[in-house]
Amino acid sequence: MKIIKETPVKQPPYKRVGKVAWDMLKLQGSVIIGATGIIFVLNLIFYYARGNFSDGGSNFMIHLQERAYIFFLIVGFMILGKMGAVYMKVGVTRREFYYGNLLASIPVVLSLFVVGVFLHGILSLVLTGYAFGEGLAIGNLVKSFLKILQYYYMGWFISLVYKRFSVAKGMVIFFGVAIPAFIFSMLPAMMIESDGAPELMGLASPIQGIIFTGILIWLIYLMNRRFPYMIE
Amino acid sequence: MQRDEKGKESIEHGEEEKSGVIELENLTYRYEVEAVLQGITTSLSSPKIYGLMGRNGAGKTTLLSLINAYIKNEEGSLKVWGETPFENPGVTANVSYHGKPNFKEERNKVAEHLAFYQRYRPNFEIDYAKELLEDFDIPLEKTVKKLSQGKQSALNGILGLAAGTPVTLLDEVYVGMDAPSRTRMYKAILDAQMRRPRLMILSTHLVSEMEYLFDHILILKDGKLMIDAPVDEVLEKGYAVSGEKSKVQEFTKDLWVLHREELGPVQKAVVYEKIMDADRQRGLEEGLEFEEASLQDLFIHLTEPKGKSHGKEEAK
Repeated sequence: MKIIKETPVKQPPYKRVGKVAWDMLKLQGSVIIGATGIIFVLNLIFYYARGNFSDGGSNFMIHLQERAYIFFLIVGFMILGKMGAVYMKVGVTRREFYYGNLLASIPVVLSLFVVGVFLHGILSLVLTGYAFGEGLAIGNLVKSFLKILQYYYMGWFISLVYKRFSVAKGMVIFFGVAIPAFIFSMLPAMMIESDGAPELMGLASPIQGIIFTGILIWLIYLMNRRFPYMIE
Repeated sequence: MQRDEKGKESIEHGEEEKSGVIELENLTYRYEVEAVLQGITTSLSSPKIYGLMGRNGAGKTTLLSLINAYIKNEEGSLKVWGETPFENPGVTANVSYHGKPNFKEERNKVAEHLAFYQRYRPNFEIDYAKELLEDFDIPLEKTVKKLSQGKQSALNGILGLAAGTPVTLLDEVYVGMDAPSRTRMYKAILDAQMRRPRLMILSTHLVSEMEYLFDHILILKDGKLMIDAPVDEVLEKGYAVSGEKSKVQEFTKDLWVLHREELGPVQKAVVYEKIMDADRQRGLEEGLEFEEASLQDLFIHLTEPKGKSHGKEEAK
């Protein structure tokens, strides 16, 4: 029998970030594509049940985005809260998991839009004969993208708070942190509004969205960096 | 030690461990206000199999969680290859921890589970893992959560043995296995240690079954490291003296007596202290009888709650 003495392997920091990102994208991407398909079918059933074809299918994208907020909150809560422990088991550090998942989050949310726009096109084509007729204003899609990303991060944040503290403590911490963060993120928008500069009004909402998202990412980082994985 | 391209110290390939791989100095861990571990100081070297024992709540899992960087130590020092393990990829990549199985939500098939381990553990021995799975009758195509508890435990143990890490921590991984499976697992542990010698810590309550696996014993009691000695030394120190009550009491008055039991005029005392040949001879001449104490007996009596110990051990 060949005897090999176990020796430590060299593991530079962040080497596994890309692997984690790819795996998390595959895992969540498949969940999201599946869920988008289900929403599409349900939407189609409602159309036929109501006999309402007058909007040419433009409501699909709106319906999809409306449902996506809660859906991504749940995905963030259910998947990210659990997967940290799974990756820790194979030697991935909290930091690697955090950056890996952060990297994956943008294509994860984008996957909803890619599939959604594709299905929207098919629906429009079937109902009106024109693909991409209505309901696909780029500005609205960007705003919606940011909002979904926020819900996704909120789900992640809530799962970390809930797992680290008790439910009651976790709720106090979540609201104690998220509400001031939300109010703080509104400040630039309020300033633009009070200055009464109409040319800047269009920027108010995206700026608020970006700041709030940034605060959430930072809070998750703080919560994650010393997260204790208690063994049951 | 060497530095990688980012300037961070990492562990050299093939570095021979000369002294302790894991060094603990005055390690204390508190959960809220309660001290779960108190002032643990020891040095664990490789290749060796350590038996980590203690009653429920003694701190075994907490100690292993600290080594595996599941939690961060706040007091005292914990070094693995001279580095702090918490958030240190150079350490976490080389330490594997496997505890009681928790596969309730594992929808992957066994083969996919192995592939996941192989992806993240650079030295994972997939062929060896498959060999062991076959030994334990675990089909590769079966969903992990549908395996029986015993087979989930076996899978967990196999993942640890095939992980290819120089430090393997198995925490009560035998829970739920039937007696033949446990025997097979012990054989697999010895086989894995022969194939790829490493530092292995086996936490267990099944002392009598696993005694023969250990090179070294660590016994925790109420968060403190009570025994830290090679298994031969522990067994050499532990014995039972029996005979007339007054003679046993006289003989053991300056010894660390773990337990006494009486049957009429006869008393039996379990002692944990090395005895000189001359003293043993004197005891034999006085009509006392000596017998070896098993590791299981020593473990039970050494970890008895306060107030149940006898004589000199109170001072200890």
